[in-house]
Amino acid sequence: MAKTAMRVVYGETLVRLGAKYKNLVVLDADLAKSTQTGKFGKAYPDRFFDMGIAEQDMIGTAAGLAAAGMIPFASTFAMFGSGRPWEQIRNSVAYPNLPVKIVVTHAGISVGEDGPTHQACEDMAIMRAIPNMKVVAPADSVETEKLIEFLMTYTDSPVYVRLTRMNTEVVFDSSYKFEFGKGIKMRKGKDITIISTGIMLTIALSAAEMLKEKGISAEVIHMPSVKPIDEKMIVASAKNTGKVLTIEEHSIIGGLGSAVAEVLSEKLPVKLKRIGMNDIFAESGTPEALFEKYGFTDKNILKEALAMMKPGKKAAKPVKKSKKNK
Amino acid sequence: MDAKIAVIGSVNLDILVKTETMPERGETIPGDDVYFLPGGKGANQAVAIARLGKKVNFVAKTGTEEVPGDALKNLKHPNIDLGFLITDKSLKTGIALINTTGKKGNKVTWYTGANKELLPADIEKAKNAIEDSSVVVVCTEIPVATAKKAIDLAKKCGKMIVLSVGALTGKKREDIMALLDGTFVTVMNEKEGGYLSNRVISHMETGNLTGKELLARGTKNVVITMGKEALLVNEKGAEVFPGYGVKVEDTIGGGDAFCGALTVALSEGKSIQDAIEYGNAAGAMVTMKIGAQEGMPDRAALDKFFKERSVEGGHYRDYNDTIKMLEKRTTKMRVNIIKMLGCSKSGHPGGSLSAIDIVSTLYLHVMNVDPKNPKMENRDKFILSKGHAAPALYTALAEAGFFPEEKLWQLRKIDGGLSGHPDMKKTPGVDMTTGSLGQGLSIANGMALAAKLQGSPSRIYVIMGDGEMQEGQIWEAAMTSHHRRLDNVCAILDYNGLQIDGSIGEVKSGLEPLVEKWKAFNWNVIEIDGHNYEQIIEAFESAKNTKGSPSIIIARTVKGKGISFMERKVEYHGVAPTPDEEARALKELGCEN
Repeated sequence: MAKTAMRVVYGETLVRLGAKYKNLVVLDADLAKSTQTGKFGKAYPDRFFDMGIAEQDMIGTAAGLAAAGMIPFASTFAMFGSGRPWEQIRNSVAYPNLPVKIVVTHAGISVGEDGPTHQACEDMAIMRAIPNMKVVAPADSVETEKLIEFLMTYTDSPVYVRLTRMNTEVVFDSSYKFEFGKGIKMRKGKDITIISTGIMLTIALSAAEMLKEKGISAEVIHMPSVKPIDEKMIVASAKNTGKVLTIEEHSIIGGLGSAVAEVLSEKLPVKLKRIGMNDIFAESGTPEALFEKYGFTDKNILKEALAMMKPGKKAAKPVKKSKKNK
Repeated sequence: MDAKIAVIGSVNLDILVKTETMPERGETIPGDDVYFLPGGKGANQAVAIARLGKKVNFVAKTGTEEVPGDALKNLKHPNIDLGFLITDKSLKTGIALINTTGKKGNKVTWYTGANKELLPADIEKAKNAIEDSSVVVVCTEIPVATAKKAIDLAKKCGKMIVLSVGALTGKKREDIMALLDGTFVTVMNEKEGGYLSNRVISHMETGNLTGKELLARGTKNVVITMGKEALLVNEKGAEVFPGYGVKVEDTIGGGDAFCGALTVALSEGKSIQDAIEYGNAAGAMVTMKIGAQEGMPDRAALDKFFKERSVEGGHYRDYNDTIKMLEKRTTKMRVNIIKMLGCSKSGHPGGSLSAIDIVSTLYLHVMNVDPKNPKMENRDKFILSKGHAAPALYTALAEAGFFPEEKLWQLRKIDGGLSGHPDMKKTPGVDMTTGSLGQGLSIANGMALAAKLQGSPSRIYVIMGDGEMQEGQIWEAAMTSHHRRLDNVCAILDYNGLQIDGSIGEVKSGLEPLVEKWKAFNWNVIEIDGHNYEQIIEAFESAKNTKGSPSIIIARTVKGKGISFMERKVEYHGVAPTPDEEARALKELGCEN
């Protein structure tokens, strides 16, 4: 599968749609080269505002633009687009429910070498906690493009879109259609449900393949819309498999894993394992090395899934041989 | 006096349905009741005048009526001479289909019927009606040529002419303007005035501009009714007559009762000012009953109402003098701030009172806004970055007419629509939600950037507190305003010198040198006394004329201004007055309750 960077596609999509949507304006906070919004700036200099290193001002300005009928996209790294201006987002964007699109890049530990000051692993948690705010983490560049297109005419609420730095495999094709609150069943299975968000999808799919070799049938759900989350799909799948494992490039506190746990504990308590940053800061290193060390690999999913199959709960009917592979 | 009054105008049968809301296009809304009531501007005014004891020569045309009701019901009055009423059985009487939502206004579809056939030749035949009267009222709900004919005849006979403007859609602006010459007074509402002068009449200033234009066409007095208020413009200047707050059933006929009572007063030799006050009282009374004519008071009832409530309805003399207007109306706002906080038992009096003169000047004099259309495109926008001064904003919005004054007593109450800090989703006229300090200027910049991109003349006003300068985001935004050359941003710094924990200097020295700071950020800095209307107005003018850079007005103010025991007191930052303090404060403001 070809690898592309979703942020590159983000920048290109903005440029493409800039011609059609004359009200589209883009803001950045001195990271336009990295977030790729600089491309829009080149194409439409009068509709691009580099706000300098001033994220709070950027969010406030975006709120003013939205209040005056423009379609503002505000971009920077996830760390500085969520944490630094959190209160501005909460009070000046979400409370008046202004349709500002906060599209951040470089989320999670896959930022790599820059280290923990730049590795946002709490952003989905703090964004999810704000009323009116919606939180989306696409898996590849196709999904990113379709999402950005969808957001051009979406004015019901603000949205937080979480992109990453690294190149990712293309999973979806052009028939993809984005919808809030809808999970996507990537693979049907009956023994365990794996729910992923963002770029963890390819790892989840690969783990499902490995599980199959062990005779375990894994259902894989991609959950781009972490808020609102697809409760129905989660509950239906959990009813079917009796075990749910979540994986996200984010803290296990407050993100996808928490959201799934909230749903299941209220609606259908089943065995649950959350894979994510386990309440720790990571460190500098290549994304690959960091993924390896902190458990964002298919092998780790396999291990955790197998562990879930172990204890003598009634759960899965077929294959018991999984026990052997500890 | 037994001099008669001639009324030349329309007769309609009003079919009226009352609904909760106005239907949108394609929408059907059930109404509770249907009424078939007599109406028409001419008939309404004839009835109003007759009930107030004057003899009326009524000139109009009717036809047959095929719906229940009787358009002539109230016209069959001993004071009304129907000898000049023409009934043509080949025509149909005019019908007005009225959808009313009570207080929230009406939508009217009008079948002109026989009214359209009242021709100049008919006026020639009814010559005696005019010659026999001392005052002639001409309504424009008839063909313009007919109205012209009536006015020309009245002029020839040297009669006092009252021109009652209405139903302008489809008529040429210039044709109507040509009627004005030689009339004593031209009466209209703000919509009609806006139509004639091609501008939105949103407050007294815009009304004054329209008035001046119309005066130039040869009428002696222009009266523009704006809800319960009326504005008079004549060669002496402009005056506002605030009118009476009553429980409104529907607003139909309000303008006609106003015009009728005004005419009666004029026919009795009253001054135009006194006549308007009388008209306001009659207008208020009519709105208390459903339909146009049902609530038209008789003389005794109107005189009683007028006598009992004349203090409240009294006009502000010298309204053309903006400064006096602002003084008067801002004092009322100070009263309202105290009363609101008395009701809510919490809130921020100090900073509301320090900013009120500026907020008041913005809403009553400076900003291009339309209280009837709070989301008007290209309007000027206001951001109260120091959101805790919300009472100042709310009372200004009420005074400007965005919502009724009664709403003010709902401050900080659940479901009251007036949040402790401004909420754009809950309160009409609030352009931005604020409350957390430091954020308003960035938002102003965003709105200003949008205005530039949209080619809009909109100007963005943002009031910040001095303590708020301690927020870092202010300075991020200050750089943005300059970098983007946002000369459509006008910031105002309410420099009252106090914050919650003490004086600005005590809490965190370093605010000064403030003027130099803003200058160093490349802003156009204007320093004023924030309680001096002349200086405030001049500063806004100067900011508007400054091109290429944003302006900040650094306004020296007194926290708690206007209430002696609150002035310069840190304690009144966020503590509402006790009942005793409220009484003392109101007394100081010249308001006894």
